[in-house]
Amino acid sequence: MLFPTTVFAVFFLCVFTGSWLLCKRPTLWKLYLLACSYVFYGWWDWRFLSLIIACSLVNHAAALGMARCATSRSRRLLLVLALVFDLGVLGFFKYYSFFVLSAYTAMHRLGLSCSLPLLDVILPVGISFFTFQAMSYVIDVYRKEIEPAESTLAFSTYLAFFPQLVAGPIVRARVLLPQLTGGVRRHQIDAGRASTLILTGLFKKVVIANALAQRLVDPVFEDPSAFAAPDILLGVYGYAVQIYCDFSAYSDIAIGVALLLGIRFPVNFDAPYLASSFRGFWQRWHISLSTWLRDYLYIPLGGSRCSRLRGYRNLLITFLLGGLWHGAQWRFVAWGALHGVYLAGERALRTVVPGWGTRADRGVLQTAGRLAGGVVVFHLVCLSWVFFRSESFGDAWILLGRLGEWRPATLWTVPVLGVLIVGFAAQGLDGRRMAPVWNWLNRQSFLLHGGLVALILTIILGLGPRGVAPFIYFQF
Amino acid sequence: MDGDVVNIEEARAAAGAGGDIRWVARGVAIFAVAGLLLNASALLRNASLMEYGGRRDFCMACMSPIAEGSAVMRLDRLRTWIESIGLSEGE
Repeated sequence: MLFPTTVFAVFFLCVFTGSWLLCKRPTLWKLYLLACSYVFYGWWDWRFLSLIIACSLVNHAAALGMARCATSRSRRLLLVLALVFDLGVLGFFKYYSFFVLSAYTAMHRLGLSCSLPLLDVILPVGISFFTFQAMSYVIDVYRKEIEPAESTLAFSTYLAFFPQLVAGPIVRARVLLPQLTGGVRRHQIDAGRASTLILTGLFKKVVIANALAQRLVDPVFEDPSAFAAPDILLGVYGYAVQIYCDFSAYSDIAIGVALLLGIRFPVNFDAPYLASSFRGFWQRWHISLSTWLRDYLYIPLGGSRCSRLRGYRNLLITFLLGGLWHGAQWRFVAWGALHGVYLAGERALRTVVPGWGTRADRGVLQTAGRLAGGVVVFHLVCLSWVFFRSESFGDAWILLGRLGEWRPATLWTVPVLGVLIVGFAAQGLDGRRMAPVWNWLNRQSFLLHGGLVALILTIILGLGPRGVAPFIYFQF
Repeated sequence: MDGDVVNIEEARAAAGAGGDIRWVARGVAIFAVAGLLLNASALLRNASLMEYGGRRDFCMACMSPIAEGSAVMRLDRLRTWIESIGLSEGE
């Protein structure tokens, strides 16, 4: 069930009505939300419902056990068991074939013959997201930063809550559980912000991302040898804008949909390509993942409070695993490695040039430096997207090699350039920048508000290419 | 940073941004009716492209009268006009 479809619209109208009818009965409300979330998830493949149910039961049982254990040793044992389960599920469904094939290839190259058991494992939608949420919950309970959920029902609803279930944002238990525990008490709904987020998300996905994919990115990346430098360059820029519009669209719609149900999610994107440093980029891109990696991987490894070399190592490990999280392929690892190297390089540069890239810089030279930094950061991020998007390393090298060949462009058309520019400018809709529009919408009558939203939705759906392409992050 | 992004909505909730649930529910109802009428022809077209079977028959039976009503009120023209200037390919 994809967000920009009629099926989801009908589903959401049912959820919305039922949720607000039941909001004064917290248990029934949670039960209803859980049932709706399972319907949403089961729409893809009902067999994987057992996986998410098992994940809920195991992690909640471990959290309850940790809360009751007196000794730190038994608490640690329960944590390890829960993490082994989560990582085991993730490892089996997502990485089994990858590791077996990698081992087979490595042994073959060493001249060793072997037969390893290959299984055709189907990747359950959203597995990377809900396992990470489950892990953050048990770790937070272990660290005594949060109490276990009041009931299995509350935790199951948290883990399966449908707006963020399949492609994030990765909402922490400390943010969502308190909102579920007490039921929805607030009678004020920020409908202006919710409808703006949903409409901007649909615009970014249906008009920008889908059009760029069809008209520019897919042709270039599917056969890079057919194009020369100008088209390749435009294709890479196109993918940078496409993946931003695609993924941030899902987050926006998820946040808007949850808001209409009275649930607040954290923001996941904040104009990432306007960052003038890599650190800034990761504070603005997929914020829920970068903060997850920071809190549960980078800091436990020692963070930056250690020797300089260990700090670089920690960054590299964090981003290598962050890359692997995106998919069981070496090109994602390469993407993560590039970002780890970028961040380590930037940190090294800061030690040589103190104050470089900080907001404290003022003056014309520093502003020019920040602008230049932004251009460099954007292009190096684009370079990393080449490995992320290409079908293989071979294709990525062919694509990069074609940058040396100059022939007249064939893809530089006015509609494509227009969509690309509008897509880049869509970053201006992130964060608090649309607050005046939210407030204006909230002041209008329900008649004008509802009618206007329907009108804009019609324009968006009419402008976009026909058909609904799946969101890129569904594969992760 | 983490707290800041969460607080966009908390700050707005504290400031009382938004409307009462009844106001929102009415808005959603208006949106649903207007959205259905404005997009009826496209929804009927999508239904006609579905695989033959009970689900397609049901969708066609639901959408046909709405699409007719939308055409009588000329509400379908907006979507048709936008599609003619839009980014659809192969049409």
